[in-house]
Amino acid sequence: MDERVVAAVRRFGSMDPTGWETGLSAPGARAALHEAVAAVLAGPWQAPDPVPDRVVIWCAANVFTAPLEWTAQLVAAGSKVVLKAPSRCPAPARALAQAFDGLGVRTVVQPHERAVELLATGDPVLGMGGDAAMAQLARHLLPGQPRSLHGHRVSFAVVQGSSPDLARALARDAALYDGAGCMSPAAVFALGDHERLAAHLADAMAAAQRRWPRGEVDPAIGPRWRTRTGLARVLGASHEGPGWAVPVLPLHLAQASVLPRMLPVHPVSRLAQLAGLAELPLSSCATDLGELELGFPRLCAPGSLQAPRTNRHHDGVDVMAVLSGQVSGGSP
Amino acid sequence: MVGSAESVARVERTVLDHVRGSGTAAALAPALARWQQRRIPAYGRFCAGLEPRELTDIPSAPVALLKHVRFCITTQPGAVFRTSGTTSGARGEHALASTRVYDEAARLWFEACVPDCPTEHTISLVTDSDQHPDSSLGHMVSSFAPDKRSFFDLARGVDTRGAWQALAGATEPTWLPTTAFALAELLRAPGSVRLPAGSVLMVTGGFKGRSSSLDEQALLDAARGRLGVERVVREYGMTELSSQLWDTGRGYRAPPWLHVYAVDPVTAEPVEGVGLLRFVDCANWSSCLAIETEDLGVVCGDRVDLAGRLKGAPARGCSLSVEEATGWTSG
Repeated sequence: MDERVVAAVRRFGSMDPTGWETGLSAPGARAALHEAVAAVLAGPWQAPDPVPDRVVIWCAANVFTAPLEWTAQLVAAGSKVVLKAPSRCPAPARALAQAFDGLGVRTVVQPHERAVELLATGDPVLGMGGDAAMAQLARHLLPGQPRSLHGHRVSFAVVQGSSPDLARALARDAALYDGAGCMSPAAVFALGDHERLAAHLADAMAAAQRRWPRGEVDPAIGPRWRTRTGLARVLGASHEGPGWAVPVLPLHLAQASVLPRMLPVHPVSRLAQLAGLAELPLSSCATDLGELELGFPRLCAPGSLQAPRTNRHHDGVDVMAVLSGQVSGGSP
Repeated sequence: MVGSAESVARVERTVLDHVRGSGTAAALAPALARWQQRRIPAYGRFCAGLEPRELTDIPSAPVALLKHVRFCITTQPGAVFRTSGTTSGARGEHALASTRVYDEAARLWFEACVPDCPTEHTISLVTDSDQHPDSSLGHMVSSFAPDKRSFFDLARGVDTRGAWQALAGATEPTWLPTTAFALAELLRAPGSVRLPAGSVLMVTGGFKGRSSSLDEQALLDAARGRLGVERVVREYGMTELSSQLWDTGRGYRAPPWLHVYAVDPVTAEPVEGVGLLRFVDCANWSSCLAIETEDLGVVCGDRVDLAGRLKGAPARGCSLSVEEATGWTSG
């Protein structure tokens, strides 16, 4: 690892994200930042080959730490990085460039329509955001311009166990980033004692709320929250507290969307019931089962969903190979 | 009062008398809600043991919940109304033991708000209840005007040619009930008439569809000009409610047995200004009294000013059936 880059990552981790308007509570933002920095420092780092002179990273607003791992690895390899900051939340990208001062990282804060000029040079582009934003981005890229564009994905947990430790790990995955981003679990599929698991999850979600209170909540979430918890009270069971909920619902009511600090539990009796998941744009699965053949690009231990290894294939894509132009890249 | 062990027939009679006597929601709803909790096991579970004492204590069912769950005091309802939404998947459902209270509540408040409406001569641009008995709007219009002539079909949209011919031939004051999108479709077709004095245009349904929006004022101005009608009333109704609100020019008015209040969308705490609208409708005696909408509004006394849909909430309403029928979604 390049010591200058390691120092820059540490500088970023030592900053106070409280004023960055991430939407998270101050303790929640600090926890997310700490987790992301620890994962990047744990490595191992990859390098594109050949190394592009410059890479444009089109940042999303929902996971403010997402550009860190790519910036660190690309700068360590010798690339310059341009961070296109999300208009809604530019402060984290600015802070990242500040932490990497002198290492060839700069931030661009412009509306999307004007920022597309950044793409005209043909530099490789790593994009993260909603499907519509990524599709719009793709329209501005030159033919053959290396691009790794990552739109909406969804993660789940599939577990056999029901212990308090397992529940704490799953609650951590659900609490970090308040359910934002493709690595937040949309639901837990419980093969074992789902009632025991849900009870322990309720304790763990309440503890997570005390430690990292939930941040801002979009008004549109309210009716959806009450619909899900109401459904659970009618058709299953609902564990609820201020700022968190663990609804237990039949499998046919599973949803691929995440509500902040809500972690639904769906009892399943066999893995074959989850075959339909493969039709979704999957990201990651937290599991205590070891191997799983459900179509997830990434499997990890519960509690590790939000701290992916830096050398993974992101969404199943070898991002570094794509940015180096060696393989054609992913578009949503 | 309604005791928790009261029979269905007695409760229906009590509610009917309450509506006929213009009784308030506050006087009846909390006891009625407790009765529903005992009579409808699913609603009882939804309420999680809460014993409402005040109107705003009554647990409100979000409309999206009713796409998955039926709250009804009987497994053999006399009528089932369903929301539009054929392209969006699940449809909301409102099952009623009978339509007696529904019909009486709707008629009484309509007559109070829109007196002397010429329903005996009706040209309808809403879903025909003969073809689609699960349309609550179609049911309401049919109950007011059993001899209506209908020029709307879910599969084909508005029969604009037939409707303009019928309007041109009107010699008596006429009632024209329509959704906003059906009216827009009518006005896109050539035609212009001057309806006889005393005619009433009733517009209902949202002005925003899944993919297109209408300029409400421009539409109503155009309608006044092309139809030669002075009297325009607006109706706010929902499949999940048995009562309607009417706007005859000074904001929507709710009947006394329907309590409207606004809540903070996130916390669900009552608020004074703009909030998410909740309804406690005693006429929903056999289903679910308290409904949480996805509409924003301000409540001032017995009047409600609508402030659009909650951002991020799916489009809904009777106008959608017109969008679906006519391909507005591609426009």
